[in-house]
Amino acid sequence: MLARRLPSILPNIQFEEALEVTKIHSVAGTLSAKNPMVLNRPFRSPHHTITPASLIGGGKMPKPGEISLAHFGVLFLDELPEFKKSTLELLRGPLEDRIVTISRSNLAITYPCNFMFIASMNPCPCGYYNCKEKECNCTTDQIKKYINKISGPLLDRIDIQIEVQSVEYKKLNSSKNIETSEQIRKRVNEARKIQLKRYEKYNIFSNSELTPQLIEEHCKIDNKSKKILELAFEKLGLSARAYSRILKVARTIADLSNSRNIEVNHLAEAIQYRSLDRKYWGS
Amino acid sequence: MGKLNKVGKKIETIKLGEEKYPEKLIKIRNPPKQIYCEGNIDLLKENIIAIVGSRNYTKNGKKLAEKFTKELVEQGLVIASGLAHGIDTIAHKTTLENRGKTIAILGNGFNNIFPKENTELYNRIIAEGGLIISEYPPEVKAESIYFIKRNRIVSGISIGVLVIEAAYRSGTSITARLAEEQGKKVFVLPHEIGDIHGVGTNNLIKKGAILVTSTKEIIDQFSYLKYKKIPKDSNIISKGQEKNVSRVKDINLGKDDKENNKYKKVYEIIERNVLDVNEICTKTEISLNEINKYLLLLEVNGFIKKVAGGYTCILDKE
Repeated sequence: MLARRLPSILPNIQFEEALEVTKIHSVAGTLSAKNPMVLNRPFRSPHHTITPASLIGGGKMPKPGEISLAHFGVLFLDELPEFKKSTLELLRGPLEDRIVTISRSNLAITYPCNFMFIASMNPCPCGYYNCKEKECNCTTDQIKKYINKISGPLLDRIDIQIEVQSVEYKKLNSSKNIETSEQIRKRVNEARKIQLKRYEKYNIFSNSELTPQLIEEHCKIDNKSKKILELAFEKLGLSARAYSRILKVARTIADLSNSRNIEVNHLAEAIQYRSLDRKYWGS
Repeated sequence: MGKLNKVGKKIETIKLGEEKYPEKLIKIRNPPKQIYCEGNIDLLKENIIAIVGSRNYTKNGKKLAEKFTKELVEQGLVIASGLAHGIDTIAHKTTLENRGKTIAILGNGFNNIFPKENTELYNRIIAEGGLIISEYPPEVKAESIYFIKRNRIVSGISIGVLVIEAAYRSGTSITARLAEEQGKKVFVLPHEIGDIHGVGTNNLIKKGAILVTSTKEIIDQFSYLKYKKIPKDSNIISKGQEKNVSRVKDINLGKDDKENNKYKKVYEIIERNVLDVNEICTKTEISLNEINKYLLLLEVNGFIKKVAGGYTCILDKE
């Protein structure tokens, strides 16, 4: 439910981005005379029965798959463990490289796939593991089997992992203290503007596209933060991949609070977002 | 001597009416027609106490199971349980670790150990002088009804049953009910109201089970047993509490006292609970932007840790 609301807070699409997205959708044949151009960020949420070919692209003349159709937008996989494990593992490369090369005997095509990957899952098959109101009746085996459908390397590529408790009925209806999507979008757009300006000369749009060199230049942290990061790596067993990803997320959090430098708070928040592997996969 | 079966296990069959058949089992309402045993059958003549609890246990439940198992072993009792996941496994393992003797009662045949992960534990129990019992022939596969039925044997061979944790309508509650029907003493550890892992145990107390908070109280219930004093250091609970108090003092992460107090406040609010970030924010009145710094530093310095559902304190170094 939460993820379905996401399109309402996505930043506005840039003209250059729109052109590229339109090209892909044109190849895929999803454009009509009425909508000749993609003007909003795409939001794709394929069903969990999706085949590998339709996810990353394929066919005799390889067409772009869902990951390319979600270029500059969002790919949302609901009920992640229900997807076939082999299908999910295909996402590893594209998530890292932001391009996917589909090779067939007579040709090889490379499609861009710079998407934001969002997924949701239950903590166990019955959905009540660790729920405060209701008791879970899954066995340890069942929970393990369910959780293990998501491999460590895939989990490692997910920068923000949040555990959400069930919402009480009263809260569903209450209207106090809620930031509207419009207000959030405004904040997001402002953060995006900062990034666009910062990366003007590098031909990239956002923090997520930063290369290791650019990370060094734009994600500087002070000595105190460095020490915390070092300690966190040592104690929490974070991977090498996590390092640059944490810095990028911290940069984004800093941008959202309109801060020039990455402060300790920003860094701490970014580290705390990588938590599921410690909670569920670790034990 | 017992016959070797296909898999090479030395299984002994004892029929109802035979001399070796455990005396305590004859007295229950529906004793099994025969029991299959593997291991040291002499254990059946000893004073056996059953330790049971839920498969999905809490951290506290684990700690209590370990404490009581260890202490009961030290009192010279044989520990019986059901070789299931959770508290059962903890009871068996803790007994073995403390060089005690343990009996596992299965709801399946010997050739189909359930759960499979406990095969190693099964072998260890036999190797270390324990006993495995089942009323089912070796080739019988596990079925849920069998597990309910075997519970009557668990309580049947024991002088009493100690319930560590039990949720509402659980198998553990069934064992406790059967034990009561058999006239066995049921010991229960009290739980907080509202704790779903304690609904069953609290219900048992309401129905007249014996509320216990220490091993001595269990031993004192039996006139033929005498409580032996255990050296002080084995009391896990009080050790944890002492350390818990001192650990708040240990926190020295902030620049000044004011900042340090915030760390302490966060720690004290989490304490023994499992709280998620939002709850911690509301209770400490620290903003969501700031809280992560406190949580992270407390975590990397080993004061709190992340668990499913949020954060909890590490009471003593594990």
